[in-house]
Amino acid sequence: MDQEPTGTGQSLGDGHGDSEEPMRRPVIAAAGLSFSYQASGFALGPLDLSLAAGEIFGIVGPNGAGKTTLLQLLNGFLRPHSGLITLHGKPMSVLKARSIARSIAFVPHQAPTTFPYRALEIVLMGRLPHLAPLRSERASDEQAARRAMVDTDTAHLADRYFGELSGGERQRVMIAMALAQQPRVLLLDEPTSHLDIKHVASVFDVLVSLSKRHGLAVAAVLHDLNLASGYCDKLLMMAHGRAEALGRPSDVLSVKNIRRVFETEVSVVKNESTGAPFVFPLRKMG
Amino acid sequence: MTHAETFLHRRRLTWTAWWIVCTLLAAIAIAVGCAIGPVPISPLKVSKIILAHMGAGHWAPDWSAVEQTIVLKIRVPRVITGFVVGASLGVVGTAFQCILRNPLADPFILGVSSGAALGASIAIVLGITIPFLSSASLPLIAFFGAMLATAFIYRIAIVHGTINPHTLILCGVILNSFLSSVMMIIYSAASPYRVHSLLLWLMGDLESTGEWRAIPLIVMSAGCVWVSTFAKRMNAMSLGDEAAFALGVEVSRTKQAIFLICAIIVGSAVSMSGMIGFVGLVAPHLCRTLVTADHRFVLPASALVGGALVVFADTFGRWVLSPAEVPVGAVTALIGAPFFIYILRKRSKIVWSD
Repeated sequence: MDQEPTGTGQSLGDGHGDSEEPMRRPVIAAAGLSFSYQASGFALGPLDLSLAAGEIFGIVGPNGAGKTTLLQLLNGFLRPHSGLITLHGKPMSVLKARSIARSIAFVPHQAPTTFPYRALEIVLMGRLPHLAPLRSERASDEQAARRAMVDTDTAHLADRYFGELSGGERQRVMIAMALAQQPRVLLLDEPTSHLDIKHVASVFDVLVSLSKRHGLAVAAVLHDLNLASGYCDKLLMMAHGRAEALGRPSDVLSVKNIRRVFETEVSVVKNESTGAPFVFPLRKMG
Repeated sequence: MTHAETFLHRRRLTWTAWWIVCTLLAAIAIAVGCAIGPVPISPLKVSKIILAHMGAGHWAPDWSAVEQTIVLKIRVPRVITGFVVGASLGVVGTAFQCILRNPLADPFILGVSSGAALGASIAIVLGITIPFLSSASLPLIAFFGAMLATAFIYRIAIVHGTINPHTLILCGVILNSFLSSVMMIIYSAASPYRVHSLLLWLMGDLESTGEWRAIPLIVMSAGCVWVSTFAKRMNAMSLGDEAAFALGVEVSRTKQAIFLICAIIVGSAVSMSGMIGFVGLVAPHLCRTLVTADHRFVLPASALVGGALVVFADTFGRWVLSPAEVPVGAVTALIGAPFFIYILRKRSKIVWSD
């Protein structure tokens, strides 16, 4: 499928989920979403999309396409200039940060290491939206944090200082923090950019299992198109703040789309074992 | 996982142990501060005088009326002022380092203190006194200067309800240098005697008298307690604004509240006692490096350490060149700097892991 940038992309709930899994209802839905940075003149949208429970949604596109901005809008951190985002059917604009945080967790691309926290202390911060004011964590909070660390293969790092961990270990600790938050929606900004292939696979295995077993909705900005192809149910391909293509990976990751959006000649073949599209750049001949 | 093995259990034990250490440190500082001076009075006698005054002890007085007056009217007020000022500097230092996400921030970085210093300079050099409030006129004018500076920073650096650390620091640096050049102009026109007394005041002076001093002390103590209620949110804010928001913190509003409370605390502290440097930088670092960066620990601990540090430094300053007094701000840096370097070298990996 090669969707033209009309600005009113189709809802993700349609097409894919309706016949196969009718119970999927959107957790987050955005309609006519638009935003712009006054200083740089960058404009995003208008975009329409929805994220269903149990769905893994990938956002791909070249640098500066507005992928991170979109995540920040979905998280409520940025307020859209027009359009409506709803979380469980309620407009995001009327929700307080604390009630959003009980549903949505966010993994930033990089976390500052200004202060010497230990990894477990960081993961425990994920419990903050569930703690009453002026109360500290209970044993159940520690159990949730420890479980999240086991799931992200970071349990052995619990007592290490966050600042002395490698980039990949920090990313996994941040993912553990988001999992400890026990969200309904998980937003990730390039979660695997510093990970080796073993940990890429294990992080995505956890995400897939949480989404399939517990109905977690996942939206991730991804640079690796093959990762997006292999693990995502839906893909949004963006350029210049607009939706260029939206749909199943096999439809979105076409030679034509990639040429138009990334200005790169690629070859797309079918992965023999999974059937997912496999993208690799064509070498320019001298 | 049994109860005794949990991280939370271990954490509670560790924090409590360190809080006890800090409290003992503060208690020793206060006892020594009350005991040492031109008339030495033993700490035991000091405790007895204080307890008797509070109606708690029933000893036959083995002290003279003069000693009682010295302890109750001179030493205790001075030590309490020093302790509360030091505690405030510790708390504000911690809070500013957090909201500016900069480990080098101190309570004076944002220019609030320069506003107070300029106010004090004008009051001292021009000899201004407010009618009926003569003993409080210097602090009042200084505090007014601090609040003017706060309003300026708030207007300039807090754009669209968001606080950008870089803008805020830049704004503070500019305000600091602008106000200090105004102060230089005032110095150059003033008489040497007044400049001398101004300099001594600026470097820290805990000797002001007057019944009014309870008011700023209460304001500062209440402010410190209030800031401490933000501790969990401050932990989240150490991870960046977006991550903090995703953990349920209304980042802009929280930062604005912390900034305003801290501005009032710093304004009061500087108005009371001049600029006592180094405490606000070193106390939070010490607590973070030795125990944890968790603000629920660091805020109370750096209040105790900061208070103890100022009381020790003031006592040392009164004693070392007695009967002359070395300004407390000079002593804090003199003792604090080498100690800080020692800690940094020992634990540099943790503190500077960026």
